[in-house]
Amino acid sequence: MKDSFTQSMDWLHTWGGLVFGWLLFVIFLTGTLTVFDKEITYWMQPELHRLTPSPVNIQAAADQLARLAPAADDWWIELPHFRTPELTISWQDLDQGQQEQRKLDPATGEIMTVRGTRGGEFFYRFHYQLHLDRLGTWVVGAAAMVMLAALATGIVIHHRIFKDFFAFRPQASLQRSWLDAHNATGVLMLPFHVVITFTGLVIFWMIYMPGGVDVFYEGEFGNMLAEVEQRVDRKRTGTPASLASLAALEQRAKIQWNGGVTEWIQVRHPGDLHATVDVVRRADDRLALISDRVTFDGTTGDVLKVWKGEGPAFLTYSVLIGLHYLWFDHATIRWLYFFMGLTGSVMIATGSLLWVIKRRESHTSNHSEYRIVESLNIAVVAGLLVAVAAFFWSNRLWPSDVPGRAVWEMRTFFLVWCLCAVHACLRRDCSKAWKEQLVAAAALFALLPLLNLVTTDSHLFVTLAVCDWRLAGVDLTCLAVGGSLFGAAWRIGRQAVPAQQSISSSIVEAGP
Amino acid sequence: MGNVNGRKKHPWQDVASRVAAAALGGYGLTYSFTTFLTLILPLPRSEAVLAAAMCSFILYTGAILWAFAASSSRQAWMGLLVPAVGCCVVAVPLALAVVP
Amino acid sequence: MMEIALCYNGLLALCLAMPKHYRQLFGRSSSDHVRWALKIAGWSAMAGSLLSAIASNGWSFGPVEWIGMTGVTGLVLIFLWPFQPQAAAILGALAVIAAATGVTI
Repeated sequence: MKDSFTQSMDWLHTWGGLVFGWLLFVIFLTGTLTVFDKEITYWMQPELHRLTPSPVNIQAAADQLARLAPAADDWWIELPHFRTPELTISWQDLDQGQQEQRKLDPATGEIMTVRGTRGGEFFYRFHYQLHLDRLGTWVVGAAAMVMLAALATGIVIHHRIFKDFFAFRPQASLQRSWLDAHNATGVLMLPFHVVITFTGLVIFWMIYMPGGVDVFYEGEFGNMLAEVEQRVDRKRTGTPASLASLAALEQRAKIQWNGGVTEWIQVRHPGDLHATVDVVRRADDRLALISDRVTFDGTTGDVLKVWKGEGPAFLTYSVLIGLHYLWFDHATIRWLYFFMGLTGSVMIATGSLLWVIKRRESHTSNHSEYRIVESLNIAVVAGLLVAVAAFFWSNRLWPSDVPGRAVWEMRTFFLVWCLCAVHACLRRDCSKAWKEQLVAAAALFALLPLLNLVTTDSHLFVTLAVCDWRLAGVDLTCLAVGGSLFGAAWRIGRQAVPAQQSISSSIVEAGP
Repeated sequence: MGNVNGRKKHPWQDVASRVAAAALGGYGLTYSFTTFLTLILPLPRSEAVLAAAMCSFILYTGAILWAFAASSSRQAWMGLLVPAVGCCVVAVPLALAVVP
Repeated sequence: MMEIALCYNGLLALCLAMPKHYRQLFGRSSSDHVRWALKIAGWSAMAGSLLSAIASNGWSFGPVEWIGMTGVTGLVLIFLWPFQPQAAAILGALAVIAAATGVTI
């Protein structure tokens, strides 16, 4: 294509990065938010904030299930955890209808009325499938492959990668300083970017690269899963039998594990002779995402299977997905991932910005394509930030008893995002558009703790006083984000003028 | 970055062909190689499937880079399709032999 | 904290080992001996911070934490340096003092 390998890699990096950059920014930013998904979900359900840590009353949960879902074919009990303090029960009926769910007080088993919200899970689903189910998963996969290619080509073309390792020249031309920012955020976090993108693809290998499954398992991943996880699958007999004590089974399961807590309990065919109880261990103390499992006969309480997960490929796979899912408890690593995700988002955004700046500084004519790209930059980068803040605002403002409340919160998010996109397209002056949207996002984030004060009892004055860092952390992070965005908006106002002056200096400069 | 004088104009057909080669040809090569690798790895079958699948994304990345580094779009396609067909040719009899 | 201090100062040393950055802080060129010393000190500090991370977090979480720590401290250094190289250097000294006196984040 080009005269040299480097030139063609440069072309691929630029155009692949531009076309997929907006999508990748969205994936990275929602992924960064997903790092704290449980904390966000907790923050968005103030009704749960009165819960204090207490021993789990599994029997009460089982009683509730027996009362609410006696005819259901599947029961689940999710045990509380310091990131998720409530006990959750769910069930599914024989006719495979909708799964029902209730949140319980872990000590008493009483049902708690909680406002309908997707919480952090909204960002999680957006992150890996853009709320478009299987199609969305494919689109995200394609973007991830382009990201890997962009990372590889980025390394190839950044030939002064070691000499310029610490280079950041903000006082130089606009193009130089943005390029330095792009390189710095890219190179320093390169291990993270490569690992997170690669592991993200590995998670859905069965969707993206099912060749092996097609050959050995007749194309049905379920067959492979059944073989690897050695699930005990017994058919319903129709003969009623009483269910053994779940609390007792849970205690016996824990003996099989060397320490470790239970994450969830699943009962299949409760009340039947062939009831099966799976007690699953929480994978919170290791990198490998393997949920050890003990399967009991639900009637007699006999152990049917003890599964721990083995095999070098399986262990490697589990570590890789563990590195992405971050289900283990490690506060420092969690915060580091959050910052690295933000940095990755900045890297992608600076790439798209650089595309515009570079062409704006070398050609003074042909504004229309750059206008389109710049409008998209504003709509995606700034607009998404405004929409995220609006999502949190909607959680506090939508009344609790509105039916389908969770969906209304999502609609607010998308509506605000669309409005930002329209604004980005219509506003003639791009710097002003950037500034206005960044200021809007900054204000919404910075004022969120104040909104929290007015609408709930879980505001900063309370949470800081009792040192509830999970809740205070959300408010404080919003303040910090708001502050940074105000700073960014202010800097854009200052840079708009120097940009014109630096056109001549960048033409003189003999390229990067 | 790439601000070189005398840059060639790139006809959109060439670009489109390479994008198709990267996306479709690359996927075809990766799929057939992954299947081939799964069949020849001396591991229990679920292990082989996982191991090959994890490697596949690295190969696909390489295929994408190849599609744009090749000196012509024809070479790009050939470089992907020929090994893909080769893997299929070897994999099909293997699959018939190994899988009951 | 020791891990952060070693990491930051390690990167600082490696940065100063480059002539142009050395000039930015000290206003004069560095000799070959100084460059070598800084490189050795820098890499040793990085290795020390990795060992420190493994010591407090174990063999699996340690390297993960270290890689993240390197990136984040590096970013702080890189974005502080062009504005205030002296401040960046002082931050390094403060980090060592904090680690020595047992202050934790």
